[in-house]
Amino acid sequence: MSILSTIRAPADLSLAQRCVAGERAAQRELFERERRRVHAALYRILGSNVNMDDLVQEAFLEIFRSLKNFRGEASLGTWVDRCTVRVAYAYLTRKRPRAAQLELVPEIPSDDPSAEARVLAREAARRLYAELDRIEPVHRLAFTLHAIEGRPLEEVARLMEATVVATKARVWRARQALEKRAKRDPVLAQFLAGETAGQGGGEEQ
Amino acid sequence: MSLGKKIEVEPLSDARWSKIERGLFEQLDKEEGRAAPLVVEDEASPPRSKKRAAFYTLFAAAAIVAIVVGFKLGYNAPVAANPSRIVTGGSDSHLALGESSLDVGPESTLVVSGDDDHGVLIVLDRGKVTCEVAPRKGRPAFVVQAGGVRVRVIGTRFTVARDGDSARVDVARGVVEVSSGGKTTILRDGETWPSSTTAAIVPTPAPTQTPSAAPAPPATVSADDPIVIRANPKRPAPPAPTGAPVTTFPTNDAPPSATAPPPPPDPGPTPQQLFEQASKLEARDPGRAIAIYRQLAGSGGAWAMNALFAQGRLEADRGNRGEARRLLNEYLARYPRGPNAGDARALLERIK
Repeated sequence: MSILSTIRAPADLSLAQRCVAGERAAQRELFERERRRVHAALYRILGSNVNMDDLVQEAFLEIFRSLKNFRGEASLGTWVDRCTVRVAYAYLTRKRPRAAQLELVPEIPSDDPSAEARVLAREAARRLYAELDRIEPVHRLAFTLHAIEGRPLEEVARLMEATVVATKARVWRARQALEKRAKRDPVLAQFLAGETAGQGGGEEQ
Repeated sequence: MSLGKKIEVEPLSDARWSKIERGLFEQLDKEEGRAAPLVVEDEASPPRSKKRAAFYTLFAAAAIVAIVVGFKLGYNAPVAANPSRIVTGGSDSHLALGESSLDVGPESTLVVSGDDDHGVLIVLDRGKVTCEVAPRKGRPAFVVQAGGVRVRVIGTRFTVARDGDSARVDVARGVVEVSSGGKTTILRDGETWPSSTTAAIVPTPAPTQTPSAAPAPPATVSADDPIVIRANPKRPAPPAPTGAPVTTFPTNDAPPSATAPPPPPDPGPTPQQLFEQASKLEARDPGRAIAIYRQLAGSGGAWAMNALFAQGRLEADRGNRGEARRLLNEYLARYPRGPNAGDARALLERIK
């Protein structure tokens, strides 16, 4: 990759500058463009969460407040990711929930052939996040960004402002904790099976 | 199947998105509303405000006139020696820096500040840089800071590679001075740091701003002698250095300006001088060094940031983990994007 490729599309910089200037249309454009990305990242890091709406809003406030420092050296998407990760980390370290807080989700129609599989997957995900709630926030963040979001370790390290070695260790610690738990939880074990089998490849990304 | 594919992100309903959007823009409106009164002149104290406004107006006018006259007389406009952030991708890049040059390795990030006349400071955030440094001939030092390792050069060719909080230094020719954890090692041609004899030195993060290499704050920097970062035509060009860096270094307590007023007759020690004093005292009188850092950290201004981190680092070095944690957390709370934020987090991890 040439160094020139680090200079991102000027459209990103222009949009950011318009947002900083207080142009409401530009702010709405950025919100519309990135809202699903922000929500998906928060969801994969935190799981189903009753505070999700507030967190999405907080992430965008962080994005808009910090845009004055955006110089277009990375893509606006990367900037958005960094702000989102920061908000998720602040949430995790601010106050640990005493119990898993679940959102109300719509009932799956009984005639849906994949209903059972989806219910099982949802239950497994609930157990995964319940276990992640017991893990150190930095370990959880590194694991979710790498193993769930599928980001390469180098990218996770940059997002967390940590070294690749430290990031790898954090992912490993989280994985160890989950595997320990999975030994006593077949649903979680099955859910993690593919990830555990493919972890070697994931590390090499 | 990866975990990401197994976890289905539950979409938010349109009603919830509307609520989020409404709340967000209401909050932005409020913030902009709060900011507005700051630019409105305070009518409660009109004489003072108006005097100040008149002073600033005259000052700005004088600056504009000076620049315009400078152009008419054929002089170059002042160029600020701002730090520039260099980020390389998959390939390396060659940069010219005054009489010296840098070969920046792939996947590297560094911040370059200062110039030959005022000292060059390179902060290596990640990756590797090979520096060909012109003999200093009495000019201020050329310094590379990589985590807790500081390399001070007189004139040589050497490579610094970031390795977590530490770094590896290889000297091709010349002499460099490597400082880490309060200890200093001299390296000559062909020598490497850490070597088998120096490996025992445990590097600790140091303030990004190296006192000895702190670029002195020029009121003006002539374009005849600028800090030039240009790409070797044979190699890929670096990103334009005009963008303000993510990391900035305190270069002065007063803003550099073409028409900056002269300093007061007896200014006393500057924050930079105090910082240097504390830095020198770290090894033989750490208590005194901490007192100075504390004073600086509480005084505000650009040097407060470096002093707060240095205080936390020094407390960690002395084994005062609780106090170190408190100070480093305070640093991160006050300066979450500060130049030492990464090192502060790494140090916190290490002493937790």
